[in-house]
Amino acid sequence: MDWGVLLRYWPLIWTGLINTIKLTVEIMIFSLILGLFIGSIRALGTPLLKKLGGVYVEVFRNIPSIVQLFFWFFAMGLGQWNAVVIGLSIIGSARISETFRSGIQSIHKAQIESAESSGLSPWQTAIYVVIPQAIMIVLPPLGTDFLGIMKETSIAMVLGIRELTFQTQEIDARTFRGFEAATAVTVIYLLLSFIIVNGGHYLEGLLKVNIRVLR
Amino acid sequence: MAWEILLQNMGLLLNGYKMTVIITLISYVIALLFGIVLASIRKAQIKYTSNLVGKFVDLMRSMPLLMVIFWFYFFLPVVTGRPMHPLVTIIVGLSIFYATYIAEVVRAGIASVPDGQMLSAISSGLSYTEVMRFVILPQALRNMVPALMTLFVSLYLSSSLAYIIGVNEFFRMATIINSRAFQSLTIFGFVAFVYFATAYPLSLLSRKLERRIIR
Repeated sequence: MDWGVLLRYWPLIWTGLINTIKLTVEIMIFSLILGLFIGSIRALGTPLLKKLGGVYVEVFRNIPSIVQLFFWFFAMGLGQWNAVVIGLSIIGSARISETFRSGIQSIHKAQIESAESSGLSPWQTAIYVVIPQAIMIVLPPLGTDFLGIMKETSIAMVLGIRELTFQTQEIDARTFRGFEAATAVTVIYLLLSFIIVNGGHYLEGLLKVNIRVLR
Repeated sequence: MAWEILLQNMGLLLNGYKMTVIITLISYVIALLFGIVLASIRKAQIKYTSNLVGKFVDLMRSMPLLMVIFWFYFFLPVVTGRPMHPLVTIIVGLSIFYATYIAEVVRAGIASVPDGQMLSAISSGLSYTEVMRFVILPQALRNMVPALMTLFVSLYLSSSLAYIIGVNEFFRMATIINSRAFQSLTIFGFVAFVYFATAYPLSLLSRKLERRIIR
């Protein structure tokens, strides 16, 4: 074994880390927005909209991610980066929408009815009654969804994006030191997971002071 | 006609699909057995060992599956001293990765069996292994079935990652045909359809069972 290879090829790993972080952040933002939208539709929309939302979730959750990426890249002709961001954001949003749907549905109907009967508009009901409670319920599973998104970015390597997993293979191709590279990259993934999980806990603690959960 | 390309290559696709089924079934059976062992060790609270198993499960769950597969791809040759067949690599990777997820499901399943069952079984003279096998696991299994089915679908979809290390499974066959024929829309559309048409009924069934158990 030759761990010195990690020092010599550190720039490759660094580029990989930057690309993994970039992908993760972009996909998190898009899937959060899209997921919130679809989750709200599935919880509060008309029967037809609910059904359409259900089809969206089922279709994108029951096809392998790698097949979806190839579909966007080869069949739809998107660029590599865009195919990955769009493909994984759609998959992420399908999962996140389920989190939001169950979060919204877990708020008791009586709360909404009493808010409305006390004269709040639907918007005010959403902003002052539903969302503050939903956030606390949704936050822990949302952390898991974000962790999933970070892990899923490793698939971007099949379209040639130079993220961490791609660079492992690259170092192996140049030096035959795949084992050392894989170990180093594994440690980096663990650190990223640690940051996401603990960031979620920190945010929960921060919000708990300001919002009291009523059930 | 665009469909001709699929008919012409039906033999290849069928062989690929057989491989996908083989990988999925073998990996799932190993993962299930190994997962039950992991969960039982954790539950047994053996000094150090249980803790170590817990750490291992957490480690695997914060890593991307693709990275785990690569890890075994590079790690197995270091141990055995010769290149490993990609089929073995993918089965080892998938089964160990999913075993940790199954272990968590089994742990939750075991926790759903009331403590009194364990205590009375032990006090009636059964050994720990016997208690697990004849008293706890049969009861726990009923609650675990939906989650285990969800993981089965997830493993089935993930088996497409075998493409990356060069196993001739369904998705890889499709990419080979695509590189000859350049009819991406038909080919990847078909692949996506096959995965969806097989995975969706299972997802649906697992959700139906879940609802029945909750009721």
